[in-house]
Amino acid sequence: MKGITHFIFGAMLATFFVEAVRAAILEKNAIILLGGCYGILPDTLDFKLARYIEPEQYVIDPWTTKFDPQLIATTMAKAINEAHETKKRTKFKIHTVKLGADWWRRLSVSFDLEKKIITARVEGIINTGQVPIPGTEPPAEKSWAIAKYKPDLIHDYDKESFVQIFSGPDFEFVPVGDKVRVDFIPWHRRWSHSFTYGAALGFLGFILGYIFTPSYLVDAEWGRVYFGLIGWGIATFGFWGHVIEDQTGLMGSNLFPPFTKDRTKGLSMHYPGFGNARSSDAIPNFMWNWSAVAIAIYNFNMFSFKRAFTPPLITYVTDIYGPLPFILEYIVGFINYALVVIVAPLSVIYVLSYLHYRKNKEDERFPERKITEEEMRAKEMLAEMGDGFEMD
Amino acid sequence: MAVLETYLIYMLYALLGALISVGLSFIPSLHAYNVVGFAVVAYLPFMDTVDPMIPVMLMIGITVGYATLSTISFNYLTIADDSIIFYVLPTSKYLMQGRAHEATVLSGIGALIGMAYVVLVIPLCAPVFVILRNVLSPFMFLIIGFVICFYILSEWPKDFGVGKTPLQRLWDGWSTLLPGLFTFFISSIFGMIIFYKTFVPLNAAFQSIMPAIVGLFAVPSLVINLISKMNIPKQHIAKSVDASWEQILRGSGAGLLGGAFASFVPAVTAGPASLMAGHFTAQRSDRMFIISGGACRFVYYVGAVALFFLPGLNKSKGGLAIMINLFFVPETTEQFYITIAAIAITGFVSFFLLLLVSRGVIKLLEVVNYKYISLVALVLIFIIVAAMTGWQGTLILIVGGLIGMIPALFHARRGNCLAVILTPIMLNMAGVGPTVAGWMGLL
Repeated sequence: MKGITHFIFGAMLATFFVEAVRAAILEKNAIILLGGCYGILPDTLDFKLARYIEPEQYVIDPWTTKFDPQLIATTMAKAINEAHETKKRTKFKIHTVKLGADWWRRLSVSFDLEKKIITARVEGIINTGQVPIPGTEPPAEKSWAIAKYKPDLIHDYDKESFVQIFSGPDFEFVPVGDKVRVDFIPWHRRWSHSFTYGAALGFLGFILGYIFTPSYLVDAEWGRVYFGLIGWGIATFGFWGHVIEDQTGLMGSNLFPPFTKDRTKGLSMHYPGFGNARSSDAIPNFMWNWSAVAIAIYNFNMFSFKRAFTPPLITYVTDIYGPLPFILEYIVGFINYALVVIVAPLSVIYVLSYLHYRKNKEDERFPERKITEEEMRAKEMLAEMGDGFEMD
Repeated sequence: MAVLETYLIYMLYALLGALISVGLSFIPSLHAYNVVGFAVVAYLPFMDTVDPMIPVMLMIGITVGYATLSTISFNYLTIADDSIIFYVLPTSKYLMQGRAHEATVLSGIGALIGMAYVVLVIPLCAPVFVILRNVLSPFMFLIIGFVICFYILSEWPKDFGVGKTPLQRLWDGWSTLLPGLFTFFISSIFGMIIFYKTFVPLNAAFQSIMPAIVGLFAVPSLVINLISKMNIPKQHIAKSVDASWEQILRGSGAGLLGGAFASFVPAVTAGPASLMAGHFTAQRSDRMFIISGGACRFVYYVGAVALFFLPGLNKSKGGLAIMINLFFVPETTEQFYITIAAIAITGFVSFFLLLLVSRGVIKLLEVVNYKYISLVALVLIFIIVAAMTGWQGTLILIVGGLIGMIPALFHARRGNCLAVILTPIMLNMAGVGPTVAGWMGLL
């Protein structure tokens, strides 16, 4: 899922903490903010920390190698061969080349899976908008080189990877039987996307809750600890929400480090009519976001001391059965509210989108287009990579 | 009959406002609120004799025109105000491909759809806005807080992370993030100082934030234009726009969401709202981004005015509502519908003005170097700020300009400068603004 989806989902989960909602009303207590912050924290840890502390193996900085395409192709082939021969994963990274405030040198690497050849190219200059600057291409004889690798590759996505602006691509070559699979961003969703680290990092939420306990709880027995636990719950649930959302894809995460070492395969959630969605796809992101915002608004209203609206079904049921316990009232009201505010509009959008895709068969997400699990995995990794490096 | 004549006069003033905004669109960085500020100052002596709806209509016309036409100076001269800075890359790409006119039309389509939202949805969904206001009022400080947190946390490193040790890589990777965080921090302090110490003359106090905003966003863009080695390629006038109905619907849908959010939540401008709406709806296409930006800006600027006039809500959000509130308080349903009518007419006319002005700018750029236009704009900005807010305002403008240069030079998000309003307003709504101001020695 996209960063904002995790953020909103974490914030929505925080609104289930009634005490926190009421503290916000009574004392402008901001502990709920932790929900959103912890919701996006796993990706923050990966894209702002883990990628830098991950041990490097094969790294090409085109600046220091005088843009030598042969060195790029040969080094990459060496990394692939090593993964095949040692049966251990190898990593390869190419840095981008920034030439000025707005100019970058474009490079590319491509795989010919049949001939087992890597082609590295040094291309022209582009601006940050990725528009080529004409006349900046190097002489043809210096612009490309090839290198041969030995094993069969499993590479189910675009065979050409570009090194363009901001950060360059990270590859991981994973031995699978007698073949080698090409993965991307190897440092992503390891320790940072786990329930164990979520619970541990939630301790900061406890401290903040303990310190910023509302005045009406400060003198109560265990009042500070109680609000500290609310802080821990908001933070940890926000973090776990991210892990659970990501687990709806195929790539999965390493859920319980240090007890587990590898990513647990995700559920690969299927959206009827659309197939398996990528983390950057509009339909799943929009549906999660819309639902989360709607639920947060509902919670704000239901947990307030003075409600701005009461779903008619509550009034209807109360008229028949008398006053309901709060939890039942919440559920009855939610059924009514969700039907009108979540289910109805999202159903319309879903069906219209589906009809659109039915008419546009060239769309790669057309439901009848079957893709392999490996292709799905590669797509998801690239989508995650795009999210992390998207321009802002 | 007299009533009809009065309505007609109102509409004529609104149209006059839209025409004035044509002039603004040629002058990069000149914000509608600068001119509206002059209109307020000019009107105040005549408050007892002139119908207040006349200056209101003029101001609405200027704002509607600006919301549609200001995309011109940005698309052709890459100048951005606080609300447009966020979608710099797609329009810059169009400009460098000689397709700025196409980007302008796409933005105009977004504005037209934004106008339809303001004219149709806001009146029809008035009770929904009232309910939302009632539910969310106690939590507005949290919503602004969420915007700030998302904004800070969602800026990803743009640099390489080159180095032999993890620490070296971390330092290198954070070389764009740290200036961004520093910009946010220093803009927050700048904002607190401006909010708690009125430097500008008292008669210009209603424009006290303006020099800071212009300094933070417009001045750096103009300075970069002046030192840039870029040449604008020949621009082509396309006969059609290369966008499908799906892209128009999805782009405008995201823009409407963002604009509705920005027009409703204090301190949030179209920039961060547009950015968040783009993420919310998972946009990737440049076309959708430009359309979304056009719709978002329109709904942000103009939707806020409609919500200000909406009976039962009268939400005072945005510079125009605040300035109108200096001399006028909307009271009747009639005034609301007059406003809606003015928005519809001027919004429609502004779209066609946009098409004409875009062609005019293409011709202008063929004979005048954009650097000269930028230089004139820079001088004009200083003159306007000095005339409106004195030397004190000019000083704020310079300080804002220096802060605004930090993200521009270090490739950080320039939207971090918006902390100048986000932070003080969030702190004030959370009830801790005066305490923090006290710590800073501002009280």
